[in-house]
Amino acid sequence: MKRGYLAIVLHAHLPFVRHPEYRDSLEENWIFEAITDTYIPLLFVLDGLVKDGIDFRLTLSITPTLASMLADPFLRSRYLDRLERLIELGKKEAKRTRYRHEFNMLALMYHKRLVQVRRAFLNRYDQDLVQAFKRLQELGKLEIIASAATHGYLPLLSVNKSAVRAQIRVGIKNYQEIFGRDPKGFWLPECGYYPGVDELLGQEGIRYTILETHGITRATSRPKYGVYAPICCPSGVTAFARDPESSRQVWSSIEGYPGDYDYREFYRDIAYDLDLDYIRPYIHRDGIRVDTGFKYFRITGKTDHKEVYIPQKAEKKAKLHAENFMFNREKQIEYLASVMDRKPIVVAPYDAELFGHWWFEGPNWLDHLIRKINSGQKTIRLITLSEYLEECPINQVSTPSPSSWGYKGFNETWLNGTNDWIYRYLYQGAEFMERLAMNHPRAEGLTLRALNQAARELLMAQASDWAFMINSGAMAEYGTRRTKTHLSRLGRLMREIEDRKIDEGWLSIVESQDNIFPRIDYRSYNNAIA
Amino acid sequence: MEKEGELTKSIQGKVAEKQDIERPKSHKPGSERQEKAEQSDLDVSQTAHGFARESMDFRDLYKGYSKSRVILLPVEPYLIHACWEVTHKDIGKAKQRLGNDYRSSQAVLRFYDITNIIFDGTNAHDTFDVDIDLQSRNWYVDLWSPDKSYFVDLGFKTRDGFFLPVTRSNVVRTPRAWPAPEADGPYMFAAEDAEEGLPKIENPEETIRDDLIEAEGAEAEAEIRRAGPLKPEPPLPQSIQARHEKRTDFDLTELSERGFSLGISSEFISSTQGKNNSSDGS
Repeated sequence: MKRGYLAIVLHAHLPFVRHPEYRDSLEENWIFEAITDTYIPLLFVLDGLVKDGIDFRLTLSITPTLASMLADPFLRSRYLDRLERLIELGKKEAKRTRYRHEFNMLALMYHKRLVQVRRAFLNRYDQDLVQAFKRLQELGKLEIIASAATHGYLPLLSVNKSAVRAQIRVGIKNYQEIFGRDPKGFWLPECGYYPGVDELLGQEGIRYTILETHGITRATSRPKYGVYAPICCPSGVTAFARDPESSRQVWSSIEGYPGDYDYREFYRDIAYDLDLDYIRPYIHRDGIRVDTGFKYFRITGKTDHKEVYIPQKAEKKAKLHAENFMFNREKQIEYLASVMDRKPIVVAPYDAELFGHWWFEGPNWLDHLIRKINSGQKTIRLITLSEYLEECPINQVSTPSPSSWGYKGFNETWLNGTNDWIYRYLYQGAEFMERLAMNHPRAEGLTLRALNQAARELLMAQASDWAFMINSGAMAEYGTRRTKTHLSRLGRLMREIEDRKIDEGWLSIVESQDNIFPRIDYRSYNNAIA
Repeated sequence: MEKEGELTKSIQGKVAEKQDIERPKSHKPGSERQEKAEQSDLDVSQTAHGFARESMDFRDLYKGYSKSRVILLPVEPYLIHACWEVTHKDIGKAKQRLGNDYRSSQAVLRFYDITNIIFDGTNAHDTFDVDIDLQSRNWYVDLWSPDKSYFVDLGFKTRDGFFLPVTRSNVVRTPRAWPAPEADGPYMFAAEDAEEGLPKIENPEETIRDDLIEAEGAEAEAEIRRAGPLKPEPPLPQSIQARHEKRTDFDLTELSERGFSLGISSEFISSTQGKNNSSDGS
């Protein structure tokens, strides 16, 4: 019998970015990079574990926006184009670096990886990565959990209950369509919790969710086991808490593993170092330099001076860090088990895109960690959160405290002087939808199409990603543009529906661009029906 | 750590001393960046794709629907954001009602502290006014005590103190800033599969007894019955018991709370994305 549990939770999310109206889009690269760097390498790791007969448990959220993009034929074909171009760059790089052995090795490594990724994407996974994760769920190794429709930050949408309910309901429906079963868990975007959201989750059949540490430590009444046992909200939904210790070891940019000097440096990409004429075919068509993924340096130190990346050294570090992580968890669980009258659970949630994309060696680290846990130690058992609930169904009744995993732990990242202007329109937009749904209980034909599109536009305007981008400044312009585009489309649809003058040509174009949730039902916003 | 109540009291005490001058602090958010972002038209590139009408100011589409309203949003335990719309019609009404006093009146948010009570219109723990600039349409209000429930009336206050409310907000609760005090009663446990959202309350003592009976069968049951009614174990001397219970509980919640380093994930992402952006330009 193991003394306690470790639940690793990966949150895979990207905002819905799809621009058929442009020949080339900087922002579409986000998903292309994530497929190459994170999703396929993760599948390689998990498939490898299955192949080697290693028993493991992992919890994964795949947000509806990400799942929709991974299923989209247009994005798949653009991804393949991008891969082709990068493979071509790989060949050129192998030639260019032929007199510099240490760089040449790396160019060949990247080229080989890209070819492997393309082969797997086309053959092994038949372009359907969600299906590949679904298979792992069916094997009982992976538990995939649902999330809000467009990653809306629910604490700030809660002014309109219908808006939160639709985010949850559309997200769950999307999950059911893709995975053919009901989700047990639900990832609250940004771990954003407010008392009351659990009740809405419970009404939609959700059994548990995951909160940031202080959502549980500051619960009313005080939790007996801190974050090392979940609590049961009065609504009946169970809330697990993020363990701060294991989070910090991986997440922190200062003391976390990913900052190790032997690991690959993310920011030195040949896109920025090489002559524009040479690199031009592999960056944005307008000559804007964007990452190619060919990164030849290691973190080296705190200064701009960077030395060449040595994969073997990094590989050793990943193994060492996996051992260190396990050692720390063993010590932690031994201590907790000695002071608790039940088995402790350590919940360690991370953004999936950290693994492989930001932290190149991350998937490797995970591979080592899982294999190590499986190699005969007696303390830790990997578990999914719903398995834990089957074993420990009785938990302390308590109401969590409002919290998120954003800066300072509350709402500030998504609500401050840079992005607060969004909300008044989101609230008005939600009221538009409520009114439309109430006035059109049984719409048909063109009106039905327009109403469903209006619901899509509202959901897309609500994505937490835009407020985050506007706040961080880095992609503020894109975040602003997306917010305004969707609000504008919603506003126009509203007028056209009420005036009974729907411009079908325009509607068709908007439907083809913002084509998420093909089976959405605008009546989710009808408070009387809901 | 101080008990919550004491800490709150001491904070309130400190605040009360200087409340006449400082209470509450508030500020206009309107950074130039924000104003610019909101007011700029949609990206013109949209028009290249036949969306000429989308390039109109998106706010125009939201105008005709407005009514006066004020919304509160908690930002963090000590900060609340308020945003509002006041229609020309309502301003007209206020002018009519206040007559000559309108010009010298001040737009205010009147806060009502209704923490843990059912508000009957008169029983708020506390009320206070925050002067606002009506045109800014939003405001940040610094607070001195977390875990409170508030709503506001937005209205006009005349020089002689008469208050004319225009619209009332939603109720918000600010988050806790530290763990709840230790429980005085026993912990309540419920099954996760409780039906219809109502937790099935389990009394630990009773559960153990039922389990025993079920597990050991009739023989054990008979034995238990022979032994007479179950007697509680003699209680530990109160001091020992309290110390014992406190320790485990105190340690784990405190341990978790201490280990909680705020905003790690966002800090990581924003620091990396920020850097990413700077290299874009090179």
